Amino acid sequence: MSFREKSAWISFFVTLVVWGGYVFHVYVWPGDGAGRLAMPLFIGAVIVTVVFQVVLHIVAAVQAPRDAQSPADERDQLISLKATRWSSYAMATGALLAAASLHIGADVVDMANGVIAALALAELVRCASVIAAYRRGA
Amino acid sequence: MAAPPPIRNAIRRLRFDHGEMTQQALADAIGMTRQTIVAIEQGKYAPSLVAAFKIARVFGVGVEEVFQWEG
Repeated sequence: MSFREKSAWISFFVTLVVWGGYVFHVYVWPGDGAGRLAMPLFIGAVIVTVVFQVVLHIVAAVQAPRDAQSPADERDQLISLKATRWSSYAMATGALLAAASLHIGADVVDMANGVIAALALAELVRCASVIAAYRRGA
Repeated sequence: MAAPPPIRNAIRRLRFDHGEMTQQALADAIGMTRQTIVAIEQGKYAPSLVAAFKIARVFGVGVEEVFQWEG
C-alpha cells in the first residue's frame, strides 16, 4: 500500500472516530449535559484530530520514508483532484442542508453543528474516493 | 467505475528487453511512483502525453512502439 493510500486511511479513521464521537456526544449521549454548545469538546476534537493525524502520518512515513518523501506524480494529482470534486459535492449538500435546517425548527447552534458534520462528511468522502481510486488502480 | 482506457502498451516487454528493468527503476527514471507504473502497465491508467514520451525515451524507442490505440 502506498503512503498516499495509507494517508487517506489515516484521515478517514481519524475523522470518523473523532468527529463521529463529537456528534455522538453532542446529540446522542450528552453525558454531563454540556449541551450542544460544547466549546471545550469542539476545541478538544480539533486538537485530537491534529495530534492523531500528525502522529499517525509520522508512523506511516517512518515505515516507508522514500515513498513518503516522493512528490505526487500526475496520477496522484488526478486522484486527488477527482476526490476533491466528490468531496465538494458532499460539502455543498451538507452546507445547504444545514442552512435549510433553520427553516424546520433548528437553531443556529444546530446549524453550526450541521456545518461541522458537513465538513467531516466531506473529508470522509474525499478519503473514501482516494482509497477507492488507489484500490482499483485507476 | 470508469472503463479502462483503450490503450495497449508494451512496457512489460520493453522492461524485459532492457535487462529486466524494475518498475521502480522506470518510475525513478521518469519521476513517477512505482504504483503509477503498475497502473499504466496493467492498462488501468492512461498516462499524459508527456509521461508517454518520457517512458518511450527511457527505452530509446518511439512512443507508438510503447503505446498502441485499441479503440
